[in-house]
Amino acid sequence: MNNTKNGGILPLMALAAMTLLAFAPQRTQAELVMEPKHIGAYVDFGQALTDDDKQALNRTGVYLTVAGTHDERLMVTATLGGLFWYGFPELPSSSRLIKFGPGVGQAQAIYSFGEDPSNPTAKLQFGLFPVKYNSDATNLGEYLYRSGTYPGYVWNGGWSYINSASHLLQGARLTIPTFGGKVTHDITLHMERDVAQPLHDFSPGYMITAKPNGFVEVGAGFVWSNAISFKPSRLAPKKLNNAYSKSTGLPVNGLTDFQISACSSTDTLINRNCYQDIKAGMPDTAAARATLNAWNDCQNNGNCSDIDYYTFRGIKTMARVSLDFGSLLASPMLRPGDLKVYSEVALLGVENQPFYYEDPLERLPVMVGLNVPTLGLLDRLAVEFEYRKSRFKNTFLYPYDNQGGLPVPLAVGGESPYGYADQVVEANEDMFTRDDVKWSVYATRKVTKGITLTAQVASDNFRPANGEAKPSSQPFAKGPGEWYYVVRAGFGF
Amino acid sequence: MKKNAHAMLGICAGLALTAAVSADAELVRNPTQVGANVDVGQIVKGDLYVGTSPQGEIENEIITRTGVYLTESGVYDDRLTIKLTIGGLFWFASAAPSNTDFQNRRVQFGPGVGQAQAVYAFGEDPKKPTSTLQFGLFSHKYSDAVNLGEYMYRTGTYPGLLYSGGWSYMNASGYLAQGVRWTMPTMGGLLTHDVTAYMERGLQPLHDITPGYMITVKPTPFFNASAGVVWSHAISLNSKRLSPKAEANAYSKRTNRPVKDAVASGGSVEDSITAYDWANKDSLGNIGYYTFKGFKVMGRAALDIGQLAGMESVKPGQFKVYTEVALLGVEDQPYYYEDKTARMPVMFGLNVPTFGLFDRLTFEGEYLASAFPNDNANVLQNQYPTPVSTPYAFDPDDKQFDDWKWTVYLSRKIVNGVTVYAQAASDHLRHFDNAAVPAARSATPTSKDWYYVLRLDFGI
Repeated sequence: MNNTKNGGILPLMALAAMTLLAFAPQRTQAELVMEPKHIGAYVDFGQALTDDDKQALNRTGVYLTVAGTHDERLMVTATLGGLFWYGFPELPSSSRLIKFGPGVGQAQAIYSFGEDPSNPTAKLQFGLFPVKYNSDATNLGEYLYRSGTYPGYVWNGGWSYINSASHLLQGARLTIPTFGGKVTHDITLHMERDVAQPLHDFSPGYMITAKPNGFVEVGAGFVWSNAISFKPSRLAPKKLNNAYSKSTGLPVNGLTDFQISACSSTDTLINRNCYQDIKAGMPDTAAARATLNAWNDCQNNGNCSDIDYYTFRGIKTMARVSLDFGSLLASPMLRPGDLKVYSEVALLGVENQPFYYEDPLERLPVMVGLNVPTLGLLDRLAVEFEYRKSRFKNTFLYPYDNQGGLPVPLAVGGESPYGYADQVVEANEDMFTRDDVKWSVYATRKVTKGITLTAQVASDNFRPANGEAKPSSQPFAKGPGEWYYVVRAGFGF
Repeated sequence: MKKNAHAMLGICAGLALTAAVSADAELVRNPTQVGANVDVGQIVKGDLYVGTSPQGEIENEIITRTGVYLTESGVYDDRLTIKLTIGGLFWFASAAPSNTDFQNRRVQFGPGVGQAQAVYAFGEDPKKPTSTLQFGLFSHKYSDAVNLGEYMYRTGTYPGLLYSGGWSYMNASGYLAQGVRWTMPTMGGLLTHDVTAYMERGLQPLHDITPGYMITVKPTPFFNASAGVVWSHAISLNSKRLSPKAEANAYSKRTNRPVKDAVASGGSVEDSITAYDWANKDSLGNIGYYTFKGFKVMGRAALDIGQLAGMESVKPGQFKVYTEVALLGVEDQPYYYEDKTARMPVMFGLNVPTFGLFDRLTFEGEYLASAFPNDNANVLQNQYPTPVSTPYAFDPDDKQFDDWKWTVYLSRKIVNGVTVYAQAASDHLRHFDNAAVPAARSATPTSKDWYYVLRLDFGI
């Protein structure tokens, strides 16, 4: 999509919106029914623990929700809130002081189509609203919307340590139930608004959910990330650190200081890093030289036929299943949802791109969860695991954090891609597999009407924000031994 | 520490399991309350700090803020009261008059939360509870004070930093607590016990849990007294922060003098010994470290003279005398904290009857004799439990910072919904810079420095 074409997107979208408005049924005396206001607050208290440090996790949040329905068809809901929070980690400076930030939890409208608005044929939801398609996931999973594509970072938590396994979507969602609600279609169009770069692009998506009976529920979907871009030049920035040779499949980045003579006589691609213990199986320097020559030819002579650039644009797919074994037992000892097993898998970027994105298995996070029966002791006890086997860190440093806005998964500014070459990975397997497994244990119990206690212990993809409200590019927990716990007292009405 | 954390998790789980779950609780919503206040005043004479930097003397500097708030509340089953107040404040950064930076001239806005609390009433009759459990974020105020005093929760321990005001210039003599407070009246209300566990959210080390206890006796309607204790940072989530093992926080156990700035040679004999002890700390073991952890104790009393004398023309509370004294840090620590009287602020107040002219007219005074300034820089910036970073620039025997603080406060309701307040004071009010960082010191360090603020408050 070039810039000229882009120039036509906005007017087209505006025209579509006007057309929808023109055909919407007009009622002169729509009846407005206001819902009772909801208010609430929570106090979070916990710790993040590593081998050599303990950091407090402590936040206090409040919210107020106002909602009303016009004519039984158009429900408008807004949630305003605020959060007392602290920068992480705690530093010896004024950035350590308590901070407060306001926020909007939702600002959405839902229009119900069909003769009977209480049993709509379709619903159109638009504005700012949370999308949670995997109702079972308490912490991990929910990959389709909140994960990246290139790079396919995964994350959980955010401004709320717990109860945030969803994505705050800005856009529209059309939900069409069919077959008496047994099969539901969701069509979404949302604007990229978080760390997913480039910002403001539109990403269309589709989900189908089937629930043939009370035992099984399955879902599948895809999102075409950054499909509609207002500035395509940001999709695949034409920069050295984002370039690769089409013929060799090697990134240009990391080759500029390629110096064979500085290392052993082994004529290898990565011997500039002097990995002396690696002896075989490496590409030779000819490929590196060809890549560099292609880049230089592009820069100096304008011949860029062998150079291409990594792109943010791509397709994410997701599939999930949920099996409610508790419903089969029908035991009075079990609460609804007890003994439910659920799982989700996603492919974050269907298409391969050279070097970084050559193995689909490395872009395939899998989560599995189980609701453990507690015989009425807790309202819910959920144990979740996630496996994401990738040599690359779970990072959004290059897309997000002042590294040029590039779709590459490098974890440190100035890092060479060749530190992730097969030979390096094989020789240092422990280092590259340390963050493959994540886990989470979640428990909640209503104490009395208006008060709920919730606890979460996890080693997951939570990225705490520093004193400037910037989330860390990698999760705080970089291995299974690094974990946190949070206890939440929530109250409200 | 892991034991502490695990024990707390166990307590939470235990509470959750034993609490009764009411299936059909009835919710009664209270009307929404909204209000606003406009403050305008002047620092008539002062000595301004921005962050940790002194800016010099100032005169007749305007101070102005406008605040708004909205409160929602409701009660479940007559037992569980939930309250939430959110608000916002237009404010201006404090800066030296010569500083013409745009950020110091534009109006700033910040949102905030005044309270987010739940109060559960125990007992057969929830209107006369046997005890109440209050938790969340709420204001804890235990005395009659309008501006000074309220030492037990809002002051530091080591060092015993004194505070007044904050984001509100006036009507702010409370402590915004985050935690739990259990209140148990006994003997028909004659004795009331308050047990608290608050998380440190303003002073260092942050997030530690500080338990406290206060007893209040009210033998007659015209007299009440309280005493209390707080064990600051008793439960620490990171005990290394309590007593940082750094040179700037170290002292010699032999000389009882700080290591920082102790000259190894060419200085006094004590200096040499101190420096020697530090240089050989591992082999000699003569080095100790200052700690944040400690006890604060408080005593207070109030006598309603109007009621005692049976003055019918004076409403209850309008002719009252009250006082409070605290010891900020019971245990001595070398050099900085060797004199208990230097850690004992005393305040007293008097409500003067105006026979209908005002709803309240109050005079308050405070006295503390200290060798060190009431400066939070070393705590907030460096995280050390010492009052200054340059120990030998001060003589612990020279109480050069002994001074009086004072306040005159009045209020008058004009009509239902509109109230006017005024406050003139020389107190501990710290102003904020354009990054919302509070000044290390008050803008009115001596009793001759002062400010005034007028407030127009309206709401429903």
